[in-house]
Amino acid sequence: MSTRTDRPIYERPKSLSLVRSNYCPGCHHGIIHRLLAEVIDELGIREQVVTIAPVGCAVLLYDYFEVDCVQSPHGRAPAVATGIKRSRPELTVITYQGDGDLAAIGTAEIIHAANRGERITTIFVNNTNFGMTGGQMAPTTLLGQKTETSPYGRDARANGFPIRVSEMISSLTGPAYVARVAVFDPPHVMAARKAIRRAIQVQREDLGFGFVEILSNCPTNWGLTPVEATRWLKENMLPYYPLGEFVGSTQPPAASKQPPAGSMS
Amino acid sequence: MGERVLMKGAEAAAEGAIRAGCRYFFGYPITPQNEVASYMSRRMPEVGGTYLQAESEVASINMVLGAAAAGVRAMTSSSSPGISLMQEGISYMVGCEVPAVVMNFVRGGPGLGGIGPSQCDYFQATKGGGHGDYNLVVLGPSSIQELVDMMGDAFEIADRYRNPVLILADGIIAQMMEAVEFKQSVDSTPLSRKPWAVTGAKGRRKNIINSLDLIPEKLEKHNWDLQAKFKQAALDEVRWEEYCLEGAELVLVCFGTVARIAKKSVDNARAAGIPIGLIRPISLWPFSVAPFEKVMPSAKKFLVVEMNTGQMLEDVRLAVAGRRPIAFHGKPGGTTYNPELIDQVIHQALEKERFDEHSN
Amino acid sequence: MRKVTINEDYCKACELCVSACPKQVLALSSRLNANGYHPVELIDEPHCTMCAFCARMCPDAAIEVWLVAAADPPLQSDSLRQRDTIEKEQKNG
Repeated sequence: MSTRTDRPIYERPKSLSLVRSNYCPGCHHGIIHRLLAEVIDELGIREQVVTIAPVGCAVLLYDYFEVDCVQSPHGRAPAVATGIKRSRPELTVITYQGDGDLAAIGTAEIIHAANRGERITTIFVNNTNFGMTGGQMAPTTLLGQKTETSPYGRDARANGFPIRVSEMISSLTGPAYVARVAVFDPPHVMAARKAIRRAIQVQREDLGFGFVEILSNCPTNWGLTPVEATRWLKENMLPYYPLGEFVGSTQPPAASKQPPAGSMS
Repeated sequence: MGERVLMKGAEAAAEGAIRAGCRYFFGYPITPQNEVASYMSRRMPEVGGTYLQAESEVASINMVLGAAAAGVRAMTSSSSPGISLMQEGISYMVGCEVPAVVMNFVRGGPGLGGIGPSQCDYFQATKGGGHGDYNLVVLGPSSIQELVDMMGDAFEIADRYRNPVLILADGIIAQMMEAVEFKQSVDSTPLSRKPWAVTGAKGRRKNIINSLDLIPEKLEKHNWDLQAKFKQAALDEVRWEEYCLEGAELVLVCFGTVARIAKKSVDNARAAGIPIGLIRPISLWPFSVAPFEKVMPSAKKFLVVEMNTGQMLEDVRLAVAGRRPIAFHGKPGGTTYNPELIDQVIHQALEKERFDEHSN
Repeated sequence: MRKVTINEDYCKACELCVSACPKQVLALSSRLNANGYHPVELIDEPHCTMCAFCARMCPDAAIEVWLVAAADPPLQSDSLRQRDTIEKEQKNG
């Protein structure tokens, strides 16, 4: 042990396993993993957390966190999480899912877990494609966006429109916190961390379902460098997927207008 | 010891599961077993358990996977089309080695089929159903009492092998009412701790419940390890019933409710001096080969009767291994047998040299 | 005295830290790590303000930022120390 006259301004979170991740260079999954580990450390809940790993780039999630983990079939993570939480309500149960997992094959499971107000937390990583399988079109692919299976650009007539999952989830009554964030620069990274923390807290405070959608880059499948991909995200994804808190806003209410002194009202 | 009550099969099955220590039921409505869910929805809160109606059978089996991974006794119940939806989840549970009980009250198929009873999911249950190299212990009850007694065994076998167990019943058992005795009380002894379960990594390294292995050699080893479990189960979990097998020359082979009906026909035939007997496999996987060996000296012909177009028939062919002719009669689609019909089938089997025609 | 430690084994040369740094004190080095990447390095230490933007952008948690008292010997971060301990334990079986 050192004498500890030094002070960390930022140190690697303890809940993050001491392994090199398999994510592509510059992939935002890495930032999101780091944030989740920071929040677990901050809340001191490492021994109570169970994560559910998706099918997707984050399929090896269980290697990256020092917490219990269950690997779920594709899209079924909210149902698996429900089974765990209903049988062990003292645990903090967190699913981590991508576009295909949550917005394609798993649409029923996420809607119904959210609708039940299941006391679980879902982190949804939206990078507009199916990353692990090589960049196919996803429900979140933008119109005109070229992917492995939309080589001429996504066409609304053939394939419908990109799904705004946060808005859809926020139309239900069960969720206690729904937010869309991004991690493309340090201030947004800090805001994303707050959102992740809040989404976990509403579970622990027994308020309802917690959901954070995180806009993310995919340098490899977008064919861009990490820095270029981050710029592409800002220019193309933000206009269609607005950031914000849709349910359970943590912002204080705007100050009410005071009547002028001496007025009757 | 226990009380004797008149109960519908589906409800008795639910009560039997609760007596066996199951406190978590996740399911979706499907005829002909909806009474399981209704009963569970009333009874689980009474015993401090959880009933949750899932949004689909897909969600049901995955909730069972989660609860089982967390170390509790969990189950689901459905019928043929719903069991098809559960195959992915069942394969995952085998691969990541979590225990659970799945009940199938079989109805006519394929597709939406009908709501009459059938035995047409034998292949699905015993030959995989889901993807990958695997087996489930499959138990086929022929009475409500047997189903209730089987529940405790099913959960215990599942826990012991860390593998799901499938109970293959049919719509007759689900819907009929019989007197049944519950030998286990509700307040059973606490269940054993499962050190592999995800209960929060307190004071230990993290537990991972996972069926993925991207390194082929490691996945190969995992498969052989699973096979070792199945080999052990094949030795220890095989069960069957022999009925009037002594000196039998025509040997009926039936399972489930068909066997129960066929026993009456066996009695009728024996009363008429016909040397006939019955093998009733109770474990459909592992399939019982021993009674076939036992009866082979006297047997001249086997007669398989089942409510499908010939599924257990294939396991009988394997057990007989070409040594005797095998006749077959089947009733798919939700139609059922009665003793008179089986009497006729027996006479046809005795008269004809070759008889393997399906009914009409 | 301040210290930015970079775990060169984890760095994948994505340059998100380089891009995020408001003072441009980071750049890819000419060294290669075992995975074939040029790990990033601090090239202008006096102008580092310890804002930790680099650490907060790093997808591999490869960067730590410490405020180190001048009298102390060079710091090894907790995570690096933990890793060394785990590796030693694994070697010893």
